[in-house]
Amino acid sequence: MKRLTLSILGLVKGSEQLIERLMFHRRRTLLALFALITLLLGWQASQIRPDASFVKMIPTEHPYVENYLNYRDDLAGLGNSVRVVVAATDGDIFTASFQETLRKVTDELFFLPGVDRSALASIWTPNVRWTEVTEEGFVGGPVIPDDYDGSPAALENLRTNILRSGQVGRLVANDFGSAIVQVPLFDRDPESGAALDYQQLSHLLETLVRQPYESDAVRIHITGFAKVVGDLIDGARDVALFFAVAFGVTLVLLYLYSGSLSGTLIPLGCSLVAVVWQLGLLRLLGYGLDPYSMLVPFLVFAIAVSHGVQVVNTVAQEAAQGADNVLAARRAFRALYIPGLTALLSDGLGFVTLMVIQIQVIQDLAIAASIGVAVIILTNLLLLPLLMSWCGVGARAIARAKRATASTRSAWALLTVFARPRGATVALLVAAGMALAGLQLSTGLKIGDLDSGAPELRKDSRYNLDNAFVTENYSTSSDVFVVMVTTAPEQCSSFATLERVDRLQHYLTNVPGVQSSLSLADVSERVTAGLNEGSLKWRSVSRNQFVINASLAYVPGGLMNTDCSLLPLIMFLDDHKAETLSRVTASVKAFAARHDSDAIQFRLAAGNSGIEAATNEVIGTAQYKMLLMVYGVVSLLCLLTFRSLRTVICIILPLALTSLLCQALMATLGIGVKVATLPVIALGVGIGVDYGIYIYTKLNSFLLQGQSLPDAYLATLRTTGKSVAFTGLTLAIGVVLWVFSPIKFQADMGILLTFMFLWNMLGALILLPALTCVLYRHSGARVRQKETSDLLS
Amino acid sequence: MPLAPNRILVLLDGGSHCREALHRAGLIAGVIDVPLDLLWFGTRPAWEGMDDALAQLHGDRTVHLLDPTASLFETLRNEWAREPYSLLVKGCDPHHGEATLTAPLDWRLLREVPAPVLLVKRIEPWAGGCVLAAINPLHDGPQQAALDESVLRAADLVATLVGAQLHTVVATAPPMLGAKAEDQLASLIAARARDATQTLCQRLALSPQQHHIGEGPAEFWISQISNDLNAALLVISTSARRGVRGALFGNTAEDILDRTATDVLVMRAGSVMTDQT
Amino acid sequence: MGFNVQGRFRRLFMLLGISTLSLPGLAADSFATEGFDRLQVPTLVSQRATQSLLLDIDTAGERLVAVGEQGVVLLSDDQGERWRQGAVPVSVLLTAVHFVDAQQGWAVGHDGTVLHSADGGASWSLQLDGNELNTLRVKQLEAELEALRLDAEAAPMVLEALEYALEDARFTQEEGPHMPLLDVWFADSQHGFVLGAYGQLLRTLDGGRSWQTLGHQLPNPDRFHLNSLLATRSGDLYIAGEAGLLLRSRDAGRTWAALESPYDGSFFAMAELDGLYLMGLRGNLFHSPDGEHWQALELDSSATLNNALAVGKTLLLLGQGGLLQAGNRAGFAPLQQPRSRQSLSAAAVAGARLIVVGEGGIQRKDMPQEGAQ
Repeated sequence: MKRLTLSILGLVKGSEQLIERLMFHRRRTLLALFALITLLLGWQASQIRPDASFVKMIPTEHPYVENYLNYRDDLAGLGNSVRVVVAATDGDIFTASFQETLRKVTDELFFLPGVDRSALASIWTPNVRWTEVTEEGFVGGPVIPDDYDGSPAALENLRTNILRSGQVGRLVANDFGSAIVQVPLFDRDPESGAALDYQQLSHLLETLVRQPYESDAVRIHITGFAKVVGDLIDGARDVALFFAVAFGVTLVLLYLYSGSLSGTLIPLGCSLVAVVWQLGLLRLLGYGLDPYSMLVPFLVFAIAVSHGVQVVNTVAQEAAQGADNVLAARRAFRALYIPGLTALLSDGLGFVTLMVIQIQVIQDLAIAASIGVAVIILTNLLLLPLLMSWCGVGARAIARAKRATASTRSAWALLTVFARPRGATVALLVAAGMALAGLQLSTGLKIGDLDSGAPELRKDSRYNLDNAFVTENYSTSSDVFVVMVTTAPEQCSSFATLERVDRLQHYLTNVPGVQSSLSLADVSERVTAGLNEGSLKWRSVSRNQFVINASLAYVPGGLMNTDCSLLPLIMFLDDHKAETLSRVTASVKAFAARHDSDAIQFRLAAGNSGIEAATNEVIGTAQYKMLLMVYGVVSLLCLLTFRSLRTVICIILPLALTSLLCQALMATLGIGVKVATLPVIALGVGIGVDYGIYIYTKLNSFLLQGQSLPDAYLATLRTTGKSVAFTGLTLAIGVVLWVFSPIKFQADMGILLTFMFLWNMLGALILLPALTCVLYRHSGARVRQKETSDLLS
Repeated sequence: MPLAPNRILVLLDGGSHCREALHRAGLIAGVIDVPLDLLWFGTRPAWEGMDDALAQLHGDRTVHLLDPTASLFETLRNEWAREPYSLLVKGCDPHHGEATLTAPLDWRLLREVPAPVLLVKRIEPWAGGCVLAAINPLHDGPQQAALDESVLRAADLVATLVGAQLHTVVATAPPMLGAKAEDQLASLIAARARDATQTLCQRLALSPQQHHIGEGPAEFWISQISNDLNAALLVISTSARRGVRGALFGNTAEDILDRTATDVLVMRAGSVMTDQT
Repeated sequence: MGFNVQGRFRRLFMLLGISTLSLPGLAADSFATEGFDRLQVPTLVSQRATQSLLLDIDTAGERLVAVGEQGVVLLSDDQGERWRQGAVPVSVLLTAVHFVDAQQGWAVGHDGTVLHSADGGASWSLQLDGNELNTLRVKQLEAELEALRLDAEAAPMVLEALEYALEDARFTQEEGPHMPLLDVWFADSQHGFVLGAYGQLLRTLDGGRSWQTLGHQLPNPDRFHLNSLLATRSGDLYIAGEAGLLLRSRDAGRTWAALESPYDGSFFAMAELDGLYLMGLRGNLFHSPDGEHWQALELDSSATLNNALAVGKTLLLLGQGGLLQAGNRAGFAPLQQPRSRQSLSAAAVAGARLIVVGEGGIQRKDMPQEGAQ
């Protein structure tokens, strides 16, 4: 092991010499190269587009989702769809003008791109029908007949038809005050193969449907995943605005801290360049910006700023010792090479491990974050010293640095109490207490959505108000869970199949959380009753296959597929909380375990709640898998670099505490772990490990010089510690302002990031020395002697 | 391949430090008593403005004037093939910018000429001054060790011949945070360098007046010391990177040329000078 | 309680099939592991049983017993406040229930199911199922045919009718045990009738241990469904059925005669208050003092009438779309506006309350005021 690490160190040293030589021998060429690349990638980055997809959000390797994707074509309307509610502000829907508006809205929606026209449903579409039983048998027809003319008689007829169609609570509100147009969407256009453009769809919904038709008499409400995504993409402008605010705050504070114009503009500039390169590379690789990954560019900026400030600080220190610009930059480059590279490599490799999660959005995010961090190596470890070698930090900063080293008193001396045994123990005990409290609180962490509506948007956002309207006025919830019952072809309507499905429905309706269910068995039962003059006593699946076949002569779309080998059992749930979903899936699995056979299989799952159940399962395990992998990689890299397990503990434990407390914070704030929020904590590790590595290496260098821990710690604080504290505070201040964002997702992330920035900083400044004190207490002096004697032998 | 002190080749183009180069070459030739071969190159008319200097040279020294038949470097190769020369002397160009596509002439000489190259900037005699031997004893590798040895021997030879003091100058790598302790602490690095230098000098049975150990990068420290000491001669080795590698990474010896005010003698691999006394 | 590390173990347990309180019926091995037949699988015990489709309700002494889908039988001993489920060995749709006293009762349903309870509905045993029904019909008809063939004086028409009936019974046997039974009535613990689709009528004289088929002897050549049986105070038995079928027996069910029917649509129920009431499809309601002369009564609704209950001097009508009206032949008025459109199947009186069952399960309502509305 020791030989391995030593040989790696040798490689690192050799690489550093080569790179340093190259950089400072050919400064201008390199700068021109950087400028060229920046231009190219900047041009690419300017063309990056929002790229959202329903399928990307779901775990495609999960058995439920695999089942869903297998049968997706047969399950029209049960996947991605949008509901447009046309509501009368005064009175009910039975006025000629309202019906005319509804008709126009239906037509408008029919022609939108990406709409599955055959499955579009409203009372104005011919596939919505009413039926009734008379002495002659069944009669039926479309809810809006051909001879509808808007007259009062026709409206009366319409009322009767609606009552007879069973659409009250489905396509027509319970209080008859509004009507829904159900718009199923194609993820991919079947003709052109192009992916659905959510931004365009959302835009069209606003300009072609909501704006023209809303008036004093009519209000339009729109719900559905596509609208959430569209709103998020539209909100990108607000998101970018808040990024800009954070940038501005960082700019001002950094200038006040460093006192150097070049020492402010250059690191921030290089950090921006890192973001530009990242976006450009993403575009080159064919990725777009997913609204759920909107954090990543800012994260890259934040990490870049941390490193940049360290570099500038070191350059100022070297300059204060008398070096000219070039020399100072060169020495700073060499000095920070190992810690900087270690931190960024561990960040990058740590983020790459997120690829194990089988959800494409997260895999894309892993790639974006890794690319971003890799790019930071080039912009902030190479370009930044290069630029500093021309500009220098400026006289004022050098004077400040000289003053800082000259003065003997320092406010930082207060913190040295944590480097002494007693103070360290107290700090660690407090940390342990917080860890326990955090553990306790984080058991309340919930997977999945905790509220109805879209948690990414504010409760009073347009979307959530619309969603609340739908939940209030309609009986079919928007939480749909579908069990796919598969049989041999032509067997989906056999008695054996329907009997079992009927039994499953009865069983499932008794699971708490299931509101109602619908399947081919229901159709058969009702039509059988209908064929017998509507008598309730006949509402049963007949054993006589001829009777069954007669009852299924006309089946509404979506309840079976064309070759009768798939029978969806559609359940409407009370909510899509994780407990409900796990109860439902467990129940179905128990049933399937006893009844699956060659003839009939009960497969999970489809419908937005079915897929969410799959996602919740994956996220539940993914959460811990992710943290394990990130911590594993980071620890391994630190171990290879610093060759000491105790060092790794000193660096990693404060990070672990931050992650734990962040989980507890999420639990207390009621932020559920979803695809969007899942990577946050892992990304936070990437931010924090930088601080720990910089502080540790500086502390270690003072310790090796023979200073005692409190003295070395004080010296570290006055140099590196100051930068770390500053960076942590500045970024936290910049990010806390996100709380005011109209996008709730961004506000939540703002709180979590603020917490992580601050806590990582505190952990590195307080806990790291405390751990060093405690772990090395017994062997402290001996270690140093051993190190020194090693090299003399 | 060990070189016996053969002829000395002097390159003249009538440019900067041309006279100093000729003067210096004459001094050296006088001390070690070897023929001087003068080669004119460049665009200026041959031997322009050099008549008096040339006249001073003639005496009991063998001086040949060579005709450049082909390009400079081809001529040099032909001369080497005809009869290897033990030293190449030239006046140092004032400025070697990095902005050119091809390497400056002096750099090319350092990279391609198989013999040691002396680039002259000063007119003052070396006697009584100090000769700086720039070595890198902490660098791994037998090639560097051989180069250090040849530098020391050459410096010692010159110091003995002209009556100057021998000093060594060592530029250590700046500390790297996070590396092994020996690479992290400036004090430890300096101590190691000092030990290594002393060991090397003892092995070669040399006793320099003073060792100047300092934090690099090399071109900064070495040039700083040579200017501070007002050194007469700086002896340095070069890795002679050529082509793409040379364009990318350059050579430390070349970077020093512009920073120091002293004459520079560049040793390269294979140019070990045997003990002549 | 959240979905968390601890919660995962719970989930694991659930997956292993060990039941928790929230999963209905798993503890009782209500699923056959191989082949699943609702005639052999006991009913599911569930918490939402009171919201199942319920088709009939009767009183067994002080107890209320309601039956409905998936073999659900609900019992209440406190006038409908709380309900519990009875143990039923089948999971078919039960269409009717009748108790002769506080212990003895019978329920019928689809697939030829006849269930008997001797403990007031708490537990039930299967007395007849579709297969046995088919077999006994075929055997009985074969025997009768055999006997008739040996009888030299047998009329050829009767013989032919019997052959036809036997053929029909054999066809039905091939089709499987699918016969829906739609009503049940017992005079006492020994004598009773079950009737159902395609003109089926069966009689037992020993409390359901053995049955005889009478359907072929009815004046019902088109095999119309027999929907409801009424026993009047005077001892007559009436059967109302599909397509206006109306039969009467004056000799306790041995022989039946067809009566003149006032309507050619289906009748679903009969009741007796001040005379006989006959009702059915599309709000058709008729009254007769003697069963032979019928007069149509006007209702302000055209919803199908499913059942009727005589309470004191008032007749309660229950029908599709939540129709609930009270009155007598002088007139009917809605008891209350239907709050939901769910149809009502039957009702029973429990103390001061009216228990109504139907599409939405059980509802408790206040008793109507005495007297005409």
